[in-house]
Amino acid sequence: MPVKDVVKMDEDEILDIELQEDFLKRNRELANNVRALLDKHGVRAIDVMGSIGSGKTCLIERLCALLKGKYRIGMIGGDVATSIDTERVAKYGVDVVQINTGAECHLDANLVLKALSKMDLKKLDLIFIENVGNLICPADYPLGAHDRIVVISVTEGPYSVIKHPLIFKEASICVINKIDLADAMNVDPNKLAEDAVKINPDIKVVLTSCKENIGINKLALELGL
Amino acid sequence: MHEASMTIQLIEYIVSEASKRNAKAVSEVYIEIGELTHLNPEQISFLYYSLTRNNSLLKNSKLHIKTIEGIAECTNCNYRGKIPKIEDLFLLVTFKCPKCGSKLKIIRGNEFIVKRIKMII
Repeated sequence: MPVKDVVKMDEDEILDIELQEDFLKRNRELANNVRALLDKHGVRAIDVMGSIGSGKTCLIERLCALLKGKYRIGMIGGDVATSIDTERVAKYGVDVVQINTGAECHLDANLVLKALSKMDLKKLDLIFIENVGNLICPADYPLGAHDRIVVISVTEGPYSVIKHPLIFKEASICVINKIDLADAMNVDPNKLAEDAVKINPDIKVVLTSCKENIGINKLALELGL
Repeated sequence: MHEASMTIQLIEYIVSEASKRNAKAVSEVYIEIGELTHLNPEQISFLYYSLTRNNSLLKNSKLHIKTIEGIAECTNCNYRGKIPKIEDLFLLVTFKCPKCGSKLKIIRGNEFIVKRIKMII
């Protein structure tokens, strides 16, 4: 009896591959490389995250003025465009490197590694990394810094903490800036502080007015600097 | 927020995996997105289809997205479970342990993973 049906393989075979490629993990691995490089040279790095116009640069300027006799300081500044902020910090005699992200809304560990390659780490003790102004994306991208600070200000209104829980989870210190404007803004900085602790029970909160040079010593103390 | 760059990375990765195996086309892609990332599945999907429309390998492929729920572990006690919400509102979460009040550590929900690619060879 002849065979009725012959089962043939399709001409186009399907290849089904299983993977476990995590794109965010790649950044975390590079962040570990950043940390190893910093530790090898005994350099401490502080990632300064925060909203646009919250006073990140002014805060770094104040810390540089306070600490420049004690530490050899470097600064990496991240912005979509321009080098306005790094030029401001350079005036304090600090070794600066600008990163222009072009389109990206955050710094990543790869960009920080590149920036570090342009610095003489043997001649530095402390590096401030000013992240792109943004309370969202930097939370997904650890940079390998030893501390992450998040800076907000009362001028952003009363809800900027609870609207961005992940970045407050990431940070070890929260700076609430522009307290000199709290009354005019009708925003209670202590309420913002409570919100931060509600999200992250380990977070330390420092109230500052960078413009008036208030709270900077306390911040340096909290950072152990 | 950074969906565009992540989707471009994803597409480049799929193209390189398919090219390595001399595939004629990619038919299906399975990815997983953690709910604690700032990556919006809707936007990833929109970008994927927009960016692959004219790509000879990927133009007929289908993207499957699974959302991964966030899971945390307490840094102090033995709590392990969902990320608690401050109020019953979307994303209004806290990383304070519901049992002892210490800080929670994320153990799942912060990933963006390619799990599986089906291709025609």
